[in-house]
Amino acid sequence: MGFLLDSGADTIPRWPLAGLRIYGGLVFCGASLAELMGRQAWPVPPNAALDPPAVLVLELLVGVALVLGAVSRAAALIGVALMAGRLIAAGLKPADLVSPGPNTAITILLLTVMLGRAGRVWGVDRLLAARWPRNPLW
Amino acid sequence: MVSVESERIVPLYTRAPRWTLVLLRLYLGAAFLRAAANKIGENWRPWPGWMAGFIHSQLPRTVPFYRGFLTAVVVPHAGFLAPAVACAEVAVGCCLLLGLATRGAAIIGAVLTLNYLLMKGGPFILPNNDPVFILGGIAVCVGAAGRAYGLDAFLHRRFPRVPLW
Repeated sequence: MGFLLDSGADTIPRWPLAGLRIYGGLVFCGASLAELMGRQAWPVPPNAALDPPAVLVLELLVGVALVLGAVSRAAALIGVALMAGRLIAAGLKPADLVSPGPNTAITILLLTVMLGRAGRVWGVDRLLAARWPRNPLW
Repeated sequence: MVSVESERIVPLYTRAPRWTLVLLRLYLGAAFLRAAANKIGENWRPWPGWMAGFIHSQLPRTVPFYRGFLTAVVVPHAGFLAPAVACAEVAVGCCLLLGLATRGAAIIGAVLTLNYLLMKGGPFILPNNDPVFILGGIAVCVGAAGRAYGLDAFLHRRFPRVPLW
Protein backbone atom coordinates (compact mmCIF):
# COMPACT_ATOMS: atom_id res chain seq x y z
CA MET A 1 0.00 0.00 0.00
CA GLY A 2 3.01 2.26 -0.17
CA PHE A 3 1.78 3.73 -3.39
CA LEU A 4 -0.88 5.64 -1.47
CA LEU A 5 1.63 7.79 0.31
CA ASP A 6 4.59 7.92 -2.02
CA SER A 7 5.38 10.86 -4.19
CA GLY A 8 8.61 9.25 -5.26
CA ALA A 9 10.11 11.56 -7.86
CA ASP A 10 7.24 11.19 -10.30
CA THR A 11 7.50 7.47 -10.75
CA ILE A 12 4.70 5.00 -10.49
CA PRO A 13 4.70 1.29 -9.81
CA ARG A 14 4.69 -0.64 -13.04
CA TRP A 15 2.39 -3.50 -12.10
CA PRO A 16 -0.87 -1.79 -13.16
CA LEU A 17 0.60 -1.35 -16.63
CA ALA A 18 1.54 -5.02 -16.63
CA GLY A 19 -2.05 -5.88 -15.71
CA LEU A 20 -3.27 -3.82 -18.64
CA ARG A 21 -0.77 -5.53 -20.90
CA ILE A 22 -1.83 -9.04 -19.83
CA TYR A 23 -5.48 -8.20 -20.26
CA GLY A 24 -4.81 -6.80 -23.76
CA GLY A 25 -2.92 -9.96 -24.64
CA LEU A 26 -5.80 -12.13 -23.42
CA VAL A 27 -8.25 -10.10 -25.51
CA PHE A 28 -6.18 -10.60 -28.63
CA CYS A 29 -5.76 -14.32 -27.94
CA GLY A 30 -9.45 -14.80 -27.21
CA ALA A 31 -10.58 -12.81 -30.23
CA SER A 32 -8.27 -14.61 -32.64
CA LEU A 33 -9.19 -18.05 -31.28
CA ALA A 34 -12.88 -17.21 -31.43
CA GLU A 35 -12.59 -16.07 -35.02
CA LEU A 36 -10.53 -19.13 -35.92
CA MET A 37 -13.42 -21.19 -34.62
CA GLY A 38 -15.88 -19.23 -36.67
CA ARG A 39 -17.47 -16.86 -34.14
CA GLN A 40 -17.44 -13.12 -34.71
CA ALA A 41 -15.46 -11.44 -31.94
CA TRP A 42 -15.10 -7.75 -32.75
CA PRO A 43 -17.97 -5.28 -32.86
CA VAL A 44 -18.94 -5.47 -36.51
CA PRO A 45 -22.29 -5.95 -38.24
CA PRO A 46 -23.46 -9.52 -37.74
CA ASN A 47 -23.02 -10.61 -41.35
CA ALA A 48 -19.61 -9.08 -41.89
CA ALA A 49 -16.86 -11.36 -43.13
CA LEU A 50 -14.36 -12.81 -40.69
CA ASP A 51 -10.78 -11.63 -40.89
CA PRO A 52 -8.43 -13.57 -43.16
CA PRO A 53 -6.36 -16.30 -41.45
CA ALA A 54 -3.13 -14.32 -41.81
CA VAL A 55 -4.56 -11.51 -39.70
CA LEU A 56 -5.85 -14.01 -37.15
CA VAL A 57 -2.49 -15.72 -36.78
CA LEU A 58 -0.79 -12.36 -36.39
CA GLU A 59 -3.36 -11.39 -33.78
CA LEU A 60 -2.74 -14.61 -31.88
CA LEU A 61 1.01 -14.06 -31.92
CA VAL A 62 0.59 -10.50 -30.68
CA GLY A 63 -1.68 -11.77 -27.91
CA VAL A 64 0.76 -14.43 -26.76
CA ALA A 65 3.64 -11.94 -26.86
CA LEU A 66 1.69 -9.47 -24.73
CA VAL A 67 0.67 -12.07 -22.18
CA LEU A 68 4.24 -13.28 -21.84
CA GLY A 69 5.60 -9.76 -21.85
CA ALA A 70 8.04 -10.64 -24.62
CA VAL A 71 9.10 -7.89 -27.02
CA SER A 72 6.07 -6.08 -25.63
CA ARG A 73 6.58 -2.72 -27.32
CA ALA A 74 6.89 -4.26 -30.77
CA ALA A 75 3.91 -6.50 -30.13
CA ALA A 76 1.86 -3.54 -28.94
CA LEU A 77 2.84 -1.58 -32.04
CA ILE A 78 1.69 -4.40 -34.30
CA GLY A 79 -1.49 -4.56 -32.24
CA VAL A 80 -2.06 -0.85 -32.79
CA ALA A 81 -1.63 -1.38 -36.53
CA LEU A 82 -4.24 -4.18 -36.44
CA MET A 83 -6.64 -2.02 -34.45
CA ALA A 84 -6.07 0.91 -36.81
CA GLY A 85 -7.06 -1.41 -39.65
CA ARG A 86 -10.28 -2.21 -37.80
CA LEU A 87 -11.01 1.42 -37.08
CA ILE A 88 -10.47 2.34 -40.71
CA ALA A 89 -12.64 -0.54 -41.87
CA ALA A 90 -15.40 0.75 -39.60
CA GLY A 91 -15.10 4.20 -41.12
CA LEU A 92 -12.53 6.39 -39.41
CA LYS A 93 -14.04 9.52 -37.88
CA PRO A 94 -12.48 12.09 -35.55
CA ALA A 95 -15.10 11.09 -32.98
CA ASP A 96 -13.43 7.69 -32.85
CA LEU A 97 -10.62 9.21 -30.83
CA VAL A 98 -12.84 9.61 -27.78
CA SER A 99 -15.36 6.88 -28.46
CA PRO A 100 -15.92 4.61 -25.46
CA GLY A 101 -16.24 1.59 -27.75
CA PRO A 102 -13.97 -1.45 -27.68
CA ASN A 103 -11.86 -0.55 -30.73
CA THR A 104 -10.63 2.77 -29.42
CA ALA A 105 -10.32 1.53 -25.85
CA ILE A 106 -8.04 -1.34 -26.77
CA THR A 107 -5.99 0.89 -29.06
CA ILE A 108 -5.37 3.32 -26.20
CA LEU A 109 -4.55 0.38 -23.92
CA LEU A 110 -1.90 -0.79 -26.39
CA LEU A 111 -0.47 2.73 -26.72
CA THR A 112 -0.17 2.93 -22.94
CA VAL A 113 1.59 -0.42 -22.87
CA MET A 114 3.99 0.92 -25.47
CA LEU A 115 4.64 4.17 -23.61
CA GLY A 116 5.15 2.50 -20.27
CA ARG A 117 7.29 -0.43 -21.46
CA ALA A 118 4.91 -2.69 -19.61
CA GLY A 119 6.81 -5.87 -20.32
CA ARG A 120 9.48 -5.15 -17.76
CA VAL A 121 7.38 -6.37 -14.87
CA TRP A 122 5.99 -9.92 -14.87
CA GLY A 123 7.40 -10.47 -18.30
CA VAL A 124 10.16 -11.88 -20.44
CA ASP A 125 11.17 -8.31 -21.28
CA ARG A 126 12.89 -7.99 -17.92
CA LEU A 127 15.47 -10.50 -19.06
CA LEU A 128 15.76 -8.83 -22.46
CA ALA A 129 16.06 -5.39 -20.87
CA ALA A 130 18.78 -6.60 -18.54
CA ARG A 131 20.90 -7.36 -21.54
CA TRP A 132 19.77 -4.57 -23.92
CA PRO A 133 18.14 -1.87 -21.77
CA ARG A 134 17.76 0.79 -24.43
CA ASN A 135 16.25 -1.27 -27.18
CA PRO A 136 13.02 0.33 -28.39
CA LEU A 137 11.37 -3.03 -29.05
CA TRP A 138 10.85 -3.89 -25.38
CA MET B 1 15.09 5.43 -12.00
CA VAL B 2 18.20 3.59 -10.98
CA SER B 3 19.21 1.85 -7.82
CA VAL B 4 22.77 1.62 -6.64
CA GLU B 5 23.78 -1.80 -5.41
CA SER B 6 27.30 -1.73 -4.06
CA GLU B 7 29.09 -0.06 -6.96
CA ARG B 8 26.87 -1.15 -9.81
CA ILE B 9 24.02 1.02 -11.07
CA VAL B 10 21.13 -1.13 -12.24
CA PRO B 11 17.94 0.14 -13.82
CA LEU B 12 14.86 -0.18 -11.69
CA TYR B 13 12.36 -2.19 -13.66
CA THR B 14 9.51 -1.92 -11.23
CA ARG B 15 8.93 1.84 -11.55
CA ALA B 16 7.86 3.80 -14.60
CA PRO B 17 7.54 7.55 -15.24
CA ARG B 18 4.21 9.07 -14.35
CA TRP B 19 3.65 10.72 -17.72
CA THR B 20 3.09 7.30 -19.29
CA LEU B 21 -0.38 7.26 -17.72
CA VAL B 22 -1.48 10.66 -18.99
CA LEU B 23 -2.71 9.41 -22.36
CA LEU B 24 -4.82 6.79 -20.60
CA ARG B 25 -6.18 9.32 -18.13
CA LEU B 26 -7.17 11.78 -20.85
CA TYR B 27 -8.80 9.07 -22.91
CA LEU B 28 -10.81 7.78 -19.94
CA GLY B 29 -11.99 11.30 -19.17
CA ALA B 30 -13.04 11.99 -22.74
CA ALA B 31 -14.72 8.59 -23.07
CA PHE B 32 -16.76 9.09 -19.90
CA LEU B 33 -17.92 12.47 -21.19
CA ARG B 34 -18.76 10.95 -24.56
CA ALA B 35 -20.76 8.22 -22.83
CA ALA B 36 -22.50 10.79 -20.64
CA ALA B 37 -23.49 12.81 -23.70
CA ASN B 38 -26.30 10.33 -24.31
CA LYS B 39 -27.76 11.06 -20.90
CA ILE B 40 -27.70 14.85 -20.50
CA GLY B 41 -28.97 17.86 -22.35
CA GLU B 42 -32.10 17.02 -24.23
CA ASN B 43 -31.81 13.37 -23.21
CA TRP B 44 -32.04 14.22 -19.51
CA ARG B 45 -35.80 13.62 -19.22
CA PRO B 46 -36.12 10.36 -21.13
CA TRP B 47 -32.94 8.91 -19.67
CA PRO B 48 -34.48 7.21 -16.57
CA GLY B 49 -36.98 5.42 -18.81
CA TRP B 50 -34.24 4.43 -21.23
CA MET B 51 -32.09 3.13 -18.38
CA ALA B 52 -34.91 1.00 -16.98
CA GLY B 53 -35.65 -0.33 -20.46
CA PHE B 54 -32.01 -1.06 -21.14
CA ILE B 55 -31.65 -2.91 -17.85
CA HIS B 56 -34.70 -5.02 -18.67
CA SER B 57 -33.25 -5.90 -22.05
CA GLN B 58 -29.96 -6.96 -20.49
CA LEU B 59 -31.48 -8.96 -17.63
CA PRO B 60 -31.21 -12.35 -19.37
CA ARG B 61 -27.46 -11.85 -19.73
CA THR B 62 -26.78 -10.30 -16.33
CA VAL B 63 -24.40 -12.05 -13.99
CA PRO B 64 -26.76 -14.07 -11.73
CA PHE B 65 -25.90 -12.62 -8.34
CA TYR B 66 -26.24 -9.10 -9.70
CA ARG B 67 -29.68 -9.65 -11.15
CA GLY B 68 -31.40 -9.44 -7.77
CA PHE B 69 -29.71 -6.16 -7.02
CA LEU B 70 -30.85 -4.74 -10.34
CA THR B 71 -34.48 -5.77 -10.05
CA ALA B 72 -34.85 -4.98 -6.36
CA VAL B 73 -32.86 -1.77 -6.00
CA VAL B 74 -31.95 -0.17 -9.29
CA VAL B 75 -35.08 -0.43 -11.42
CA PRO B 76 -37.56 0.70 -8.71
CA HIS B 77 -35.41 3.75 -7.94
CA ALA B 78 -34.43 4.51 -11.52
CA GLY B 79 -35.91 7.98 -11.19
CA PHE B 80 -33.18 8.86 -8.72
CA LEU B 81 -30.38 6.55 -9.79
CA ALA B 82 -30.44 7.37 -13.49
CA PRO B 83 -29.72 11.11 -13.05
CA ALA B 84 -27.16 10.15 -10.40
CA VAL B 85 -25.38 7.93 -12.91
CA ALA B 86 -25.43 10.70 -15.50
CA CYS B 87 -24.00 13.23 -13.06
CA ALA B 88 -21.37 10.77 -11.88
CA GLU B 89 -20.23 10.12 -15.44
CA VAL B 90 -19.94 13.82 -16.20
CA ALA B 91 -18.08 14.47 -12.95
CA VAL B 92 -15.68 11.57 -13.45
CA GLY B 93 -15.03 12.62 -17.05
CA CYS B 94 -14.31 16.23 -16.16
CA CYS B 95 -12.11 15.32 -13.19
CA LEU B 96 -10.06 12.86 -15.20
CA LEU B 97 -9.58 15.33 -18.04
CA LEU B 98 -8.47 18.10 -15.70
CA GLY B 99 -6.46 15.82 -13.48
CA LEU B 100 -8.47 16.93 -10.46
CA ALA B 101 -8.98 14.52 -7.57
CA THR B 102 -7.85 11.86 -10.02
CA ARG B 103 -7.56 8.95 -7.62
CA GLY B 104 -11.11 9.41 -6.37
CA ALA B 105 -12.52 9.97 -9.85
CA ALA B 106 -10.72 6.95 -11.26
CA ILE B 107 -12.02 4.66 -8.53
CA ILE B 108 -15.56 5.95 -8.91
CA GLY B 109 -15.32 5.48 -12.66
CA ALA B 110 -14.02 1.94 -12.22
CA VAL B 111 -16.87 1.05 -9.84
CA LEU B 112 -19.43 2.56 -12.25
CA THR B 113 -18.00 0.55 -15.12
CA LEU B 114 -17.95 -2.58 -12.97
CA ASN B 115 -21.68 -2.16 -12.55
CA TYR B 116 -22.14 -1.87 -16.30
CA LEU B 117 -19.98 -4.93 -16.85
CA LEU B 118 -21.99 -7.02 -14.40
CA MET B 119 -25.23 -5.79 -15.90
CA LYS B 120 -24.24 -6.71 -19.43
CA GLY B 121 -22.74 -10.02 -18.27
CA GLY B 122 -20.44 -8.74 -20.90
CA PRO B 123 -17.65 -10.64 -22.65
CA PHE B 124 -14.80 -10.62 -20.16
CA ILE B 125 -12.05 -11.80 -22.46
CA LEU B 126 -13.48 -11.11 -25.89
CA PRO B 127 -13.14 -7.47 -26.98
CA ASN B 128 -15.18 -5.34 -24.60
CA ASN B 129 -14.55 -1.83 -23.43
CA ASP B 130 -15.63 -2.26 -19.79
CA PRO B 131 -12.64 -4.25 -18.48
CA VAL B 132 -10.35 -1.73 -20.20
CA PHE B 133 -12.02 1.06 -18.26
CA ILE B 134 -11.87 -0.84 -14.98
CA LEU B 135 -8.22 -1.84 -15.30
CA GLY B 136 -7.35 1.57 -16.70
CA GLY B 137 -9.12 3.23 -13.78
CA ILE B 138 -7.16 1.12 -11.33
CA ALA B 139 -3.94 2.00 -13.13
CA VAL B 140 -4.74 5.73 -13.07
CA CYS B 141 -5.65 5.50 -9.37
CA VAL B 142 -2.55 3.57 -8.33
CA GLY B 143 -0.31 5.83 -10.37
CA ALA B 144 -2.03 9.06 -9.31
CA ALA B 145 -1.98 10.18 -12.93
CA GLY B 146 -3.38 13.60 -12.11
CA ARG B 147 -0.08 14.71 -10.69
CA ALA B 148 1.45 14.80 -14.16
CA TYR B 149 0.02 17.56 -16.35
CA GLY B 150 -2.99 17.95 -14.12
CA LEU B 151 -4.37 20.13 -11.36
CA ASP B 152 -3.52 17.45 -8.81
CA ALA B 153 0.11 18.54 -9.09
CA PHE B 154 -0.76 21.71 -7.18
CA LEU B 155 -3.21 19.98 -4.85
CA HIS B 156 -0.71 17.30 -4.00
CA ARG B 157 2.01 19.80 -3.25
CA ARG B 158 -0.28 21.77 -0.99
CA PHE B 159 -2.04 18.84 0.72
CA PRO B 160 0.25 15.86 0.26
CA ARG B 161 -1.56 13.41 2.52
CA VAL B 162 -5.01 13.49 0.98
CA PRO B 163 -5.69 10.18 -0.79
CA LEU B 164 -8.06 11.71 -3.33
CA TRP B 165 -5.33 13.06 -5.57
